[in-house]
Amino acid sequence: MSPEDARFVDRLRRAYAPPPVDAARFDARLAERREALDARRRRAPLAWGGALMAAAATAFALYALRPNTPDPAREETPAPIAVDWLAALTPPATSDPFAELRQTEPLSDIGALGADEDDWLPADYEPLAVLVNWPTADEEEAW
Amino acid sequence: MHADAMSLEMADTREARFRALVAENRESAVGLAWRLLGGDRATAEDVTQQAFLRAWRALPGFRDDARLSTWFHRILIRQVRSHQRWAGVRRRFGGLWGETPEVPVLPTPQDDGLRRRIGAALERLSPGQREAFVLVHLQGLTIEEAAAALDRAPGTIKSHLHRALGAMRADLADLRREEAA
Repeated sequence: MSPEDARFVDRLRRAYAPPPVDAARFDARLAERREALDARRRRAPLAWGGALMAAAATAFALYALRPNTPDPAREETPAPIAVDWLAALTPPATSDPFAELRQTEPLSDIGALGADEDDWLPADYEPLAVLVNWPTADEEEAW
Repeated sequence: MHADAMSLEMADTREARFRALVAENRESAVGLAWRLLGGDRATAEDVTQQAFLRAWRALPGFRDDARLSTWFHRILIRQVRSHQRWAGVRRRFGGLWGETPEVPVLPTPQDDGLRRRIGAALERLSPGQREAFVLVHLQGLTIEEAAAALDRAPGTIKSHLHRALGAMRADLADLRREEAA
């Protein structure tokens, strides 16, 4: 640094000087703040413990008060009582549901006019022939 | 019993070290904060006390790998920077919450115009240049001490000093001419 710069800097240092510090007042204020800081640090574990307990209590309350929605998987399972009730109304199915159909006449025989008229209309149904104008065997022959 | 005696001794040592730190550095620390913060005395004392409180908390971990005053200067510089950052934020956004934006505090009425001009010239420097100039030329630290306090290389400090001195010369050219005459 040149001599001019050195004098310039010295002038700045003297002109831009801070006011003196009141040491007693400064130290007293510092001691107060240090005491407050130490007290806060002593309380810190209690504060953390309280915060954790509050968080746990909140989580438990939220869990206990959650909405009781039914399990979707259960909806697909029929209730046992309904199954029994339904089973009581419904006759047991035969092992071979098509057995009755095989005992009846084949459909091709129904259309064969001139076939044995006794077989045309089952005997059980003859009394009904009058009611429904079903031609009897004689009427059929006359026609 | 032995452990209690040891912790009492350590507490005494810590207290003694802290009192010595405050007594030796109180004046220079407040002066450094005052120069870096634009001449606001109340803020300078407040920031310096915050730095001492941090030093009190960190003192048990101080490993004596540097001088205690250098270690404390580093803490103080960080506090000053933190305050300047938050002061900038408050100035910029304080009005959003209905706060009156903080007006930069001018030097006290007793200060002459020269002090105001020097403060304004320092404000126009970059933060790194201002810190280097204040520490070395106004506070009287060596370049190595300033480098340790600012956590920079000595070469960086020299570069900052060179630029800062050039800027201050340009800003306060009349002062320099008076001294040269």
